[in-house]
Amino acid sequence: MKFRLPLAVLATAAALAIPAGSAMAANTPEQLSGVTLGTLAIAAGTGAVFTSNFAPGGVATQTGALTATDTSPSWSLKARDAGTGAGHMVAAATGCTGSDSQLTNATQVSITSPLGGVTPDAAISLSGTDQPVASATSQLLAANVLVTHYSVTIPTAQQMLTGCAYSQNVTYTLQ
Amino acid sequence: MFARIALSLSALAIAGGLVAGPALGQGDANGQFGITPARRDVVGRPPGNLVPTRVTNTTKGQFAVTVFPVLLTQAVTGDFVFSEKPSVLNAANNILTPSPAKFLMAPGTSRTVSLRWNTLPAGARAAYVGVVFQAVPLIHGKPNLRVTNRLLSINFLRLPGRYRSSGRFSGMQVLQAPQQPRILRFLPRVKNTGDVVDSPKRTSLVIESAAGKHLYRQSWPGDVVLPGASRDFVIDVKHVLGAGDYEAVAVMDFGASRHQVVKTPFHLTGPNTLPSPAITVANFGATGEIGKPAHLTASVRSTGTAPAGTEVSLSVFRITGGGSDNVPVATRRIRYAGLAPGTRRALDVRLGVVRAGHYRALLRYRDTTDVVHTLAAEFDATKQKSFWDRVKRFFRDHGVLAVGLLALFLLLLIILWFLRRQRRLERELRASPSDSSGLVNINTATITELQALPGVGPKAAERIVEHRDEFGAFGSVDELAKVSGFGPRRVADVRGRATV
Repeated sequence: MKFRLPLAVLATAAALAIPAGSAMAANTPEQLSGVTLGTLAIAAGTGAVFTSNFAPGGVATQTGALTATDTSPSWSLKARDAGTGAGHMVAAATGCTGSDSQLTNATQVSITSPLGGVTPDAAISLSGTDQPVASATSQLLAANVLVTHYSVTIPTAQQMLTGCAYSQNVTYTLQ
Repeated sequence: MFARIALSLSALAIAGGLVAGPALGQGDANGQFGITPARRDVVGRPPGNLVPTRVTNTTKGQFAVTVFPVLLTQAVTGDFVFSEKPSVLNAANNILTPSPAKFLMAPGTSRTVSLRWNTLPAGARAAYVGVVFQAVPLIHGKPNLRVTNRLLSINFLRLPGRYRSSGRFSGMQVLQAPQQPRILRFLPRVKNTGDVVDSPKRTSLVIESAAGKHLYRQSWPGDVVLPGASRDFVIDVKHVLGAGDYEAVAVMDFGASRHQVVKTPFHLTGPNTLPSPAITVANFGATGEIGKPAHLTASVRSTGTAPAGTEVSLSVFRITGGGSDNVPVATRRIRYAGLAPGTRRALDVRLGVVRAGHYRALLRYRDTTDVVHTLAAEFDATKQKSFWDRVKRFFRDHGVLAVGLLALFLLLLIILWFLRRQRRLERELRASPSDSSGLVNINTATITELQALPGVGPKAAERIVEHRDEFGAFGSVDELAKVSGFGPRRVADVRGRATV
């Protein structure tokens, strides 16, 4: 308590910067105070390209990096496919005549982490709903790099003509 | 409360610092898309503005950012979940409106997003609203896997006033930590029975031996539980416990509910190793005779250290023209539950009716790790077999059982023969010439019975019977004198013991 009062006064003084800036507006609404905590940040890269085995009878794999920050020790990271394939890679609208409109098997996603307190969940089959891929109950994330693993098994009977591009959108949510 | 205000204002100060802070440069390779603050616990009366969110892009890429509010509920894992149905999103937007809702973020830039708390749902004193900050990288090229970043900020909004904070345990599970052998995971489930967000405090987990001795103790981190929600808290124990019986005791305070306790006994089969169920199905085979059901056999075994169960799904398909029919000839599901470790059950099922042709039988089951296994067997429908074919096949398929049955059959035959012999002897005894006084009837007695007479051996008895057969019944005992070898003295010897 001895140190909290001066801290609060300092904080109040610093906070005055915001009302001062906001006072430019004629009708400034009431600022509702309360407890505010933490920072969240994520960078899941710009995407990944399957460079090999992306053909009938192959198992295409690729890895990527996901950087995350969470100042709350209890966090979770989820993944889902927000596109029309609901987990399955979808053929492009053009250049895919004669090819299957989407791959038979859903793309698998898993996360590995060098951090001890992170619990990587088992590989998930992407779907249209959020599924957890990693979480922690007592491990802060401070721009830690997690490794994302993607994999898709393509049956031999899959019709994939040369030049047809397949893609999907993986959405990562950090909370 | 004082600390709460200080925290709040500190956060404001941080946010303010970012507003007035220096440019973030052009971003860097390890940069991120971020928001501050990530969580708000606000007591106030709408309408009003919340502490704005500072959004930063320290990456080298450009993002198209969309901001939208969502209504939060809490899963048992503790995760906050939300629906993205338009009606639900509209309801969330009525409560909390972000501005701007869409914008582009260049590399190394930041900006604020204001959040206006408009109202609460009718009759509600609180709302739990998330705000999703979605950043789609604007990139050249077409990767197979495009990536979208989402950050979910959590906002607990409530009116001033008195709230009841209370909670209790509703159970505790003990698991083997997934992918981390030798680590025990305890999951006490906490239910918030009050009407305000709160979290467990003064927490502990104690492991006791079966005799009640304290062996291990640790605290566990509490986190928020929404009113009415139940949440599992993950407590991983690395302290090694040997095989044996134990009890886990979790303790907490939750609001006004002091010293809440939940106890769970558990058993270890080895160091930090819980009994684990496992099940396998093997030796799947199928046969079929025309006009009869397909005969499917397999062996279901409980191979773990805890009782296991599964559901077996059986299907028989007729293969026509290079592929099997899509519609099975017949299907059946069989449930096995609580199979004790080491036990084995024979699956022996007759399914559908087989016509001439080739068939494929499939057996599917889910093991205890939730992996689905498929076993297949193919067969050609055969003509019905004769009785002797069936006997031979029975002996071939069930050798030990057949030998056992044969031995049992022989034993039964012996017992039957013995009983019949006994019955015959008894009958003979009943029909024996001896009357109630013990006299031997020389007209009806057998060779054996005649030997009961004094001085009559097998030869003499034989001669008596031969005489009887040749000349008919004796008229008196004295007529024995007509039998060869019987003189008056010998007749006199038997006179007192014989009759006609």
